[in-house]
Order: sequence, then C-alpha cells, then structure tokens
Amino acid sequence: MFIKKLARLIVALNSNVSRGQIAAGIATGVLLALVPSGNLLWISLFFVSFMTKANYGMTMLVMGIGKFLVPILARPIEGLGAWLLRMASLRGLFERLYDLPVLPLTRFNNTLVMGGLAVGLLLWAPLFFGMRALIHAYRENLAPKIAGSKFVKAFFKIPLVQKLAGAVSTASRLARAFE
Amino acid sequence: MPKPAGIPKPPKAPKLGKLFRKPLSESDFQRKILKAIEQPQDREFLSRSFEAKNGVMVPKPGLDAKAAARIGKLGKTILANRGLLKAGPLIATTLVAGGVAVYGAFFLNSSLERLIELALESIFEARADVIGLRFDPIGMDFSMSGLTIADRDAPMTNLVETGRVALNLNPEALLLGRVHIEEASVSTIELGTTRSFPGSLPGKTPKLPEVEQESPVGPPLVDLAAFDAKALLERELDKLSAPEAWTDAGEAYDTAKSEWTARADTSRLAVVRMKESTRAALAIEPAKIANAADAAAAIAKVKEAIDATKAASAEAVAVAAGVAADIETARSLERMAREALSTDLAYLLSLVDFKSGAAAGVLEPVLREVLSSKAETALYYGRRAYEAAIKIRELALKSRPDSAGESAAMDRDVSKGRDIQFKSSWPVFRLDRLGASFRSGDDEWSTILEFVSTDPDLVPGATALSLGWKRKPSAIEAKGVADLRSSSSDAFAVRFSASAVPFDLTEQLAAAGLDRLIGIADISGSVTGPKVGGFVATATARASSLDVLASNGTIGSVVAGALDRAGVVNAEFEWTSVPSGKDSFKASTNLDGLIAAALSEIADKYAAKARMEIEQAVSEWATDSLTPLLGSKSSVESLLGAARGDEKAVGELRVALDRKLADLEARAKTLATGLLPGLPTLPTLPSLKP
Repeated sequence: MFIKKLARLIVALNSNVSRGQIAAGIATGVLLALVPSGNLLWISLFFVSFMTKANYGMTMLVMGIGKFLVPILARPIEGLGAWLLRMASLRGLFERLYDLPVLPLTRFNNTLVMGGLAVGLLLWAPLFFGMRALIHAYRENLAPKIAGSKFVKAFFKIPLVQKLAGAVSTASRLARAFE
Repeated sequence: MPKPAGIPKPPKAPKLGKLFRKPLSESDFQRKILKAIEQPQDREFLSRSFEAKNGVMVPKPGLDAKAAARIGKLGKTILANRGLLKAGPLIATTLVAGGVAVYGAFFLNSSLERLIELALESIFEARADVIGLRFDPIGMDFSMSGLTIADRDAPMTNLVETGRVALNLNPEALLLGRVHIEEASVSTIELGTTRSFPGSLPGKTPKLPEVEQESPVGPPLVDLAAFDAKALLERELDKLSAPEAWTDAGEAYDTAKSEWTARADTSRLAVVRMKESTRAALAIEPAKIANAADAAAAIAKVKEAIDATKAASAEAVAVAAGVAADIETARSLERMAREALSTDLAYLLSLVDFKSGAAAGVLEPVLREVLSSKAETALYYGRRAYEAAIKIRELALKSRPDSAGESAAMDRDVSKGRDIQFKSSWPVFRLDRLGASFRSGDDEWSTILEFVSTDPDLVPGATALSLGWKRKPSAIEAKGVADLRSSSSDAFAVRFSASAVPFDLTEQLAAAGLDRLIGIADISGSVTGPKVGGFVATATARASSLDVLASNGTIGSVVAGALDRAGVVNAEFEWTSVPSGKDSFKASTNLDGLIAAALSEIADKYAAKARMEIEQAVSEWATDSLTPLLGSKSSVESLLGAARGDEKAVGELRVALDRKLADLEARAKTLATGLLPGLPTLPTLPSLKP
C-alpha cells in the first residue's frame, strides 16, 4: 500500500499533474497531521481538502507520515495551543466562539487542536510555495537527467519494477477517473 | 445508388479531444495549453504538433493516430489541472452522508445507550444498564424504557431502578456540544432492588462502611418491686471497675512474690554462710595476742572476713529495698482497688435512686437509635447523591484555566491536550427538572429533582430534591437542597414533615418495660450540613393516640399507666454531628417527667430495702470474689520481713567485724611501742569500711 502510494507520488511528480495541486496536497497533509482527528475541525478540513484539487494521494501520504511524527512535537504544539488559548487579548474572542453554535464541536478549546491548527496554518503557505518551486525545479532540471541516466533505465527493466509500474499506472487511471 | 468501385476512402481526421475542437488563437494556445503542461518534452511535442494558420492554431496535417491519442491524453490532463474543486468528492460526500443516516437509523441508539452507561458508570462507579433507548434527533426527544444503576457498596443491589424515562433536550445546547435536559419524567423509581447478577465494576472496590459510633448507653431502670441485688450485680458487672482494679493489685503482689522469693532465699543462705565464715575472725581475742607477728596475722584474717561479707551484705540490702518498693506499688494498687469498690457500690446504689433525668438517660439512646435507624436509608442515599454531584462537578472543573495542579496535569495530558473551559453561560451538563409521580399499591409517590449541573453557578437555583409520600391519612414531605454554588456556605439543607404517621415500637422501649407501644406521630424538622462536613438536625415530634399493647414488670405497668393518663407525648431533638468529632444528641420530652413521677412512687416504697440488699451483696462479692485475688499479699509481706531481718543481721556482723579490726590494730600498736621504747608513736591505721 505504502509502496504503491510512493510509486504514485513518483508518477505524479513525473507527469503533467499541476505542481500547485501536489504542493497543496503536501501542505494540507501537514495541516491534517498536526490537527488531532476526532473533532469537527479535522473532519471539516478533511472534507474541504477532499473537494479541492489538492493532490489527494499526496495529502494522505504526508498525513500518514506526519501522524507518526507529530507525537514527538506534541509538547511544544500543546504549549503553543495553551499559550494562544490563554492570551488575554484573545480571551474575549474565544469566549464568544465558545458560546456560538457548532464551533465548540470543533474542540478549538483543546490545547493540542489549537496548537496544531496554528502551526499547520502558519506552515501552509510557505510549504505550498516552497514545494511548488521545488517541483518546478525538479521537473525542469533534475527529472530529464534522472530519466536519461543508465541506472534508471536499467532499474525499470527489472521485471518486478515493471509489474509495479503497471499496477501503479492502472491505479493512477482509476484515480483520475474518480477525479 | 451503388458506390463506384476502386475509389479509396479519404483518410479520417484524427480526434484530438474536446479541448482542441474549437480553434485557439496563438496567445490562447500559449497561455491555456502550453503553460498548463508541466513536462518539457510534452510541451515541445504539442508545439510541434500545431501550426498557426490565419491567426489560429490548427493541428499539422499528417498527424498519425498515435500522436492524436497523445494530444488527447494531454488535453485531459490540462482539463484536470484547471479549477479548484472536484466533482467526484461531492458524490463521495453524498455517499458518506447516506452512510451516516443509515448508521443513525440502525446503530445510533445502541451507541448512545453505551455512552450513557459509560458516563453513569464513571459517576456511580458501578454497572449501569440503559434499556430500550430511543433518540429522535429531529424532535430532540429522548426516551428509555428502563434504567438500573447498581450500588457500588452492595453489588447485588440496585442503587436505583426506574421505569420509562423521557427527556426533552435543548437543541441549541446540543449544537454547542453541551447537554441541557429541560424536562425529564420518570414513570417509576425503586430504590435498593435486588439484582440477578453482581453490579460491581473491575477496579472499583466497595467502600468499607464507616465505623458507627457506639451509642451512649443510659443507666437501666430497675424494677424495685421485683428487686434482686445479686442479679443486679451480675447484670452490671461489665460496667464495674473494681474487678479490674483488684485483679491489677493481685497481679502486682503475684509478680513481687515470683520475682523475689528465689532471690531472697539465696540471699538468706549467703547471710547464714557469712555468719559461719566470720565466726573464727570474731572469736579472736586481742588481749591474748603476745607479739606483733600474731597481731598482723589476726588483722589480716579480720580484713579477709570483712572482704568476704561485702557481696552478701550488698545483696541482702538490695533484696530488702526491691521487695519494699514492689510491695509499696502493690499496696498503692490495692488502695485504688478498694476505692473502685466504693465507687461501684455508689453506682449500684444510684440505680435505685430515681431523680429527675433518670428516665431521660434511658430514653435518649432509645430515641437516637429509633431516629438513626429510620434516617439511615435516607442518609445513605443522600450521601451517595451528594458524592455523585461532587464527582460531576469535579470532572467539569478539572480542566478550568484556573484549576489547581495544572502543571502536574500537563505531563499526563500532553498527548491528548487539555480542554480549556471558557466562561460560558452554558454548563456542560444541565438538568432543569426531573419529575416522577406514580402510585404503588395504596402509596402515592412524587419526586422532583431540579437543577443538577456540572457548573452549579450557571443554573438559576440550587440542586433540589423534593420527595412526597401519601397513604391516607398519612403524608410525608421532604425537600433536600444541595447547594454546590460557590457563594453558598451550606452543602445541603433538608426540611421534612410527616403528618399522621402511625408508629409501632416493639424492642426499642424494652428498657422502660414497654414491649409494644403504638400511636400516631406528627414530626417536622430540618437537617443542614456545612461544606466542611457534619450536620445539624432538629426535629419536633408529637405522638398521640398512644396505646401500650404489651408491658412487663412493675416499671412497665407504671409507665403504661402514665402514658394512658398523659395521652400525648411531645419531644424535641437536636442532633449535631461534627466531622471526626463526637456527636451530640439532645432530646427533651414530657415522657421523661411522666416516667420519673411514676418511678418515684415505687422508689419511696422499695428504695431503702434495695440499698441495704445492694450493700450486703457487694460486701459478699468483695469477700468471696475480690479478696482471694490478693492471695500473694501475705507471702510478699513475709518475704519483706525476712529480707529486712537479713539486712539487719548483715549490718550487725559488719559492725562487729569493724570493731574487732579496730581492737586488733590498737593491740598491735601497743605491742610495737613495747618492743621499741623511745620511738615515736605509730600513726593510727585508717579503719576499713566496705
């Protein structure tokens, strides 16, 4: 499963899929990894990302990896959330939000949710533009060199890799049809 | 018309996809097509495949099918890259929404059932079972056909078992993630019903029952007409202090005897030996010594005898002192024992001396026992309800920004974060009113529970429980208020009244000679408890239509007659319970006066005879039972006499030896002066002492 996703990622990087969509997928994946699941905020973010053209596969892959790494950062994220929720200048706003319908179901008052959302939102734009530029640079400069290298040519002649590439292309076609 | 043969078919123009059906201007081709292609080789391919003709880009002639298919594929990619939203997920969302609706229809109720059970189990620490839950999310109606909550402290019993429960929820609160039950009704409520299987939860052990304070026992009333002093002494033996005091004194004598007998015998033997061993030294006559050498030998012999007596004389002195000290202790205990006997005699005599308050002394513990046994169940449920309310409050306040121990909680909760509760007009849980009104046989019950909340400061009133019971013509009403609001100093307050409640006392008044007393009672009162714990309960009671159905002894018949004459008994109680302190219970009743008056008539007639009989019984008891406890006394006293005799004999022997030594030294000096005339007189030798 993971290998297939990774293969699809390589395929997406080397196809004509918009670099903006891939970059948005990465940034959204990081955001979804940072915000704890099981609340209305995460569900909303997930559905929004699901409905946009952000690369879904990339979102899932980055989120999957991120969910393993986030517990390491839980303490500073939690601390940031607690700091934000206790800020005197924001207290009035939070109190108003807390008494509005539906919003408390997002659990924005949880320190980890607030911290994760803040970090995720702060990282979203730099990640998006940074990844977009990197993908462009890769496609224009690095990819042709890699594709032309003897090693890659020999690698793709391995029967197992060929089978895998076939499976990935089928999966890609299915995914595209779904989109 | 048939086609002419041999004319070849014109080649079909290859299909390039809908993106390329309409001709594009050169600038549009650059902007919309080439810029949307990410791979340089694909861009180059597309540029090669089109040419400008009359200002528009058209496919170059001679494109083969393979190239056309590639262009079509690239066209699809360009279309996929355009825009922000996808159509596919909308279908998926619809499917998910459908799935949620199906889940709601089939599984929501069972999930809610389990959630409610878990919440109740965490509050009451025992198994909770919700039966037949139905939730209508549109009408916000919620009902269950039954609910049982087991008793943590008695797992085979239900704390509460209800019939149908219906709730009306506030939808606005649900949208805020809170639960606000505006109105709830329960068809039946039963307490303490038996369970068919244990309701304990793993890890939740029953709380050990609090050790009940021993009720003070009042002096018994003595039936003088059928008085038996020995029987009274037997009955009261546990309360008398003389037996223990006499036993202590006897043990002191026994200990002294066993400790000193052997040692004193040994010491006496040593003294006898000492007397024999010193006999030769004492027999020396200084006047018969003729020369200095004999004198020196005699002095040495006497000194040796003196040294030999040292150990024996020290032991004799020690034994005498030890026996004297121990006998003094035993005598002191004996004196105390005799005083205890006097006190016991006074106590026994007081039992036949009726004064005002004697009956009250009997009645107070009886009344307290009656009240506490009746109030026990109510207090038990009250305590459990209060415990549950406190737990709900604690759970809600745990994550408040100003809650204590926050930094300690941080380490534990960092993986899940902490919920910061902001000031809100909506508590997490709020129940405005729960009403239950039902009939059970001839009984009519009504219960109203108001304002239960996780944040008591956010509800308009204190948590209140009103209970009503009616069975014509009797009625009981009680209203308990547990005020957990921060502004209140009282934890709870209960007011109750009972009118025309029949009572039937059987064993409780046995001390007053009444085996069964029935009547009608009207009681009103209150119980208040501060947050620090404890309570103050006051009650006023009036008992009428009194009828003694069975009595025994002279006292019983006298009290029965007094009650018949009085017709009404009034009583006032005040019961104060201090946490980790001693309870105080005060009762004032006209019953005390009635009984005291009736008893004084008997006392006048029989008291003098009874006193005499008691004195005689105590005297016999002391002679027959207590005095033999001091069996070792005479032995110890003899021991002391013998030890003192030994001490005296040793002293006399020492004096004789000292005197003999002095005489010998004087003789030696005389002999020395005769041998060497003209020499100065020798200095006197210092006398030797042990």
